[in-house]
Parts: sequence; C-alpha cells; structure tokens
Amino acid sequence: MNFMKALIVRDLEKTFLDGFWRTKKKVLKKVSFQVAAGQTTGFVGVNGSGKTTSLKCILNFIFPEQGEILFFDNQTIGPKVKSQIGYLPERPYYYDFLTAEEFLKFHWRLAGKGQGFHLACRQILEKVNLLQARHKKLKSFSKGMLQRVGMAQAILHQPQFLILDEPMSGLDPDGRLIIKEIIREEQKRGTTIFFSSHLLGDMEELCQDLVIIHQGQVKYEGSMNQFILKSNIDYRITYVPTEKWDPLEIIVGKEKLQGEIDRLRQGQNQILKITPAQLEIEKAFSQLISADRSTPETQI
Amino acid sequence: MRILIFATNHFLEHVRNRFVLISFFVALFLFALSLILGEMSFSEQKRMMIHFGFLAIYLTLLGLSLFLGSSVIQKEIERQTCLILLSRPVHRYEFLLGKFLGIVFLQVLIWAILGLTLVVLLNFNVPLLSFTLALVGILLEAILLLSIAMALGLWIKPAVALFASIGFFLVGHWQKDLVFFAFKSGDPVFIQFSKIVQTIFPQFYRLNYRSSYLVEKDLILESFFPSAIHALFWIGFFLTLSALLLRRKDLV
Repeated sequence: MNFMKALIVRDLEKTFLDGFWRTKKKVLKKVSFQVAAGQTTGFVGVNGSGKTTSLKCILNFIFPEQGEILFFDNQTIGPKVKSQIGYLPERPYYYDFLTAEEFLKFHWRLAGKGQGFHLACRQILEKVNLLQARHKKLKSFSKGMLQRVGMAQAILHQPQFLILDEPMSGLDPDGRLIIKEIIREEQKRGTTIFFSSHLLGDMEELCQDLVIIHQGQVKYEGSMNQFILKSNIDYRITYVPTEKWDPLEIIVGKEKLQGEIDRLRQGQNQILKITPAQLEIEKAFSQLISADRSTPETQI
Repeated sequence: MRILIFATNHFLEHVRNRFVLISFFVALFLFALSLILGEMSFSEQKRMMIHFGFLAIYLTLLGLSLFLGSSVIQKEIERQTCLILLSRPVHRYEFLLGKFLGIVFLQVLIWAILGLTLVVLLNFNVPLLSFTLALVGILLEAILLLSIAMALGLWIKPAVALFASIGFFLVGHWQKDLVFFAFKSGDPVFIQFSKIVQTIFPQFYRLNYRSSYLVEKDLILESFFPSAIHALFWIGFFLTLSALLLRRKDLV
C-alpha cells in the first residue's frame, strides 16, 4: 500500500429540495474527515444524520455544492480509482432475475477482470456461505442472503478500499457473524475499510478509527480508544453481600469505581463481576450528541 | 465493451420479463386475427394480413419503446440497482447506452421473429426489398421513440415522460398534414409555425414505409436512405441529450 490516506473529504456541503414547496434542506454542512490507509474506520450517526448522503457524494452518485473528495492521497474519482473500490449499498437491490453466480459474473466483467472467474466465484461464495445457492435466482434470496451476496460482489475483485453502507442492518445474528468475519479477513489482508452503521457495538468491535456525524456535521474524528476514554462511563458491579445468597448490583461512575470496590471488599462482600453499565461507545456517543438533540435541523 | 456487458444483461432481464412476453403474445394474437379477418374479406385477404401484420409488429415495438424507455433509468435510480453498478469503473454514459442497446436488442429479436412469421404466413409471396424496407422503417420508428422516451424519462417522471413521448410521436406523424394545411391557408404565421415544428420535432412520418408498401408495393432503396439518416440523427441527438442529463443527475 503506497498511500497514507485512502480517503480525504473536505468541506462537503449538500442541500436537497424537500416537500411540496421545495424548501431547501441542508443535509451536509462542511463535512470533513479522513480515512487512514489500512485501517477500519466507522462512520456513525443516527438515522438521517447524513451518513448515506456523504457516502453517495464520495462515490459520485450525488453532487455536492461544495467540497473536495480525494482518494489514495490525491486522486479524484474515476474509473482507475473505482477499480480499487468495493461498495455495498445500504439496501441492496439487485437484478433479481439473475442467479448468484450470474450476478457475480456480471460484476466480475464490469470490474474489468478476465480469466479466473470460476475459482474466484467459488471461493467468495464459500466465504459468504452461499455456495449451495449459487444457481438460485436472487429473487428467492432472503434479506440476509442478499446482504451476503452483496458483500461477495464488493470483495470479489479484491479491492484496496471497501466502502460499506450499513452492512449489518437487518441481519440475524448468524448473518452478522458472517459479515463480521469477512470484515476481519479483509482487515488481515490490509484492506482499508470505511463502513457506516448505527449499531455501535459492531463499531466498537471492528473499528480502530471513528467518524461521528450528527445533523450533517462531523462531531468527532479520531481513534476509537480515545473516544471511549474521553467519555464518562458508568460501571455495573455485581456482588453477593455478606451472609446472603442473592447477588446485588450497583452502578457507579468511573471516578468512584475504585472507592466502591474497596468499600465492598472491606465489608467482606464477594464481587462477582464489573462490567460497563452500557456499551462504552453507546455511552460516549449519547454524551456527544445529547447537546445537539434539541437543536432543530437547519432550514434555509 | 462495458456497454455490451450492460446491454447483454439488460436484454436478459427483459427476455425474462412478463410484460415483454405478454406483448409478444398479443402480437401473435393480432397475427391470428389478421388470418381470420383476411378470410372474411372478399378480395383483399393478403392485403388484410399484411396490414394487420405490420400493425402487430408496429404496436408491439412502440409499446416496448414507450413503456420500457420512459422508466428504464428512473426505475434503476428508484430501486438503487444502479448504485452498485456505477461504483464499478464505468462511465454513466456507458450504463445509459448499455440500457438503450439492451432494449434495442430485444426489439430487434421480436421484430425479426414477428417479421419472419409474417413472411411465412404470406407464403414467402412478398417483394423482398420493399417488404424489408417497410419493416426497417417500423424498427427505426421504434428505436427513435425509445431514445425520446429515455431522454424524457431522465428529465420528468416516467408517467409524464410516457405521455410526452406519445405527444412527440403524434406531432412527428402529423407534421406533413400540418405543413400541407399551413401552405393551403396561406397564413404566414401558420406557415412559419409549421416550419418550426418540422425543425424541432423528429419527422416520424418519413419512416412510415408500411403505408407506402400497401399503396405502392415497389419501394426504392434510394428514397429510404435520407429518412434513415434523419432517424439516426435524431436518435443520436436524444442519446446525447440523455447522456448529458444523466451525467450531472443526483441518483436519489
């Protein structure tokens, strides 16, 4: 990998016309962030925060009024850049008259690949656990299967940069596990991954870096660990009091945690476990955006 | 090359489309009807068969142009199927031309099957050149209408685009009468208006060789070329317009 930044987004602005009176609604307000090469970066935000719009701007599906988007340090989007990108949209709709294998072949050819399809197809379908269904038409696929075949087309040509829009939304636990496993394998391969989600637990598990967007503005950009450390997390202590059988729980803040542990131990209580009261990232996220909750979205 | 990949895929999509199959069978039904009506007529059996045969091919191809052309790109945008394709190293115009050619391939296939069926029904007893020219005229009209419907479908909603395309088609056929009446009236404003209409709308009537075939029988190849070039020019114009519209269109 001979680039430092897989993606640089600077001052992106996008306005849509909304409703009967075509009022202008600013969806992206000076959105700027970077995605480091070889890292997995999460793109987090509540529904309607501007995640998908940002991704569509990045991939040139919609055109921002302002801003600059550069790939691999200094390249603008074009066929050369696109050949190094794998993309999975939020709600993947495909040509349902095709079988899984025909669908992948179609994308293999569009990616400009020649020989070696059958081996690559077999391997990729095995990876997403769809080898048995390769001759079935996509219209007979469940949502989870469609998401997996979408993931297969995204990584089929072994891209350097994967952009995934909500790859795990609406999947059952088994489906999520498969997608996570694929993301981990791509991480090992050195692929840069940028994926949006509002499932914060998955982000915490998979990402090294984080970009948080809220009401069309980037609220945080940096490492996942730093973000969690900054937040004021509560902990749940589960313990069994002296001469009793039933365990009890108390929730304390980070600053009081050590004192509370000492107090329980001195009282001969048996501490069973100490866990974050909430997913650490969820707490940090809710603290970050709580200040903006009452602010109405910009109408111009 | 990528245009052909899109075209092949789109062609396959429509071959498996129920609407296309129904259109095809409606055309076959009209053929059958032409046989029955031919039998019922006193001395014009063959003429009735040719008339209905051409009509069946004409309606089927025009129907495909209107219904598929006006919604083909908008449907891709609404269903977001185009996003995954345009994330590949392809240009938007390649996608557009692929879609256009996919429908054209389908029309050519149906046109060839129905045309051959008609020849067989007529016991191969047709003047080959004139008959072929009449059929090519039908095909060119359908492709021209398809390019118009696609351009309008990118600009306005599919249902409106469908009716606007029908408007283009009717104006394109009525121009000759319009010019005739304008000159007959002697009104300079009317004459100027008819000339403007003739300039800014494609002249569909120039491709109507099926009526000429029924009246004249012996069509001349030389007379067909200017009409074919006229059609190809307008097809190119509307495709360029579509490509320009799609180039800066937000896919939402």
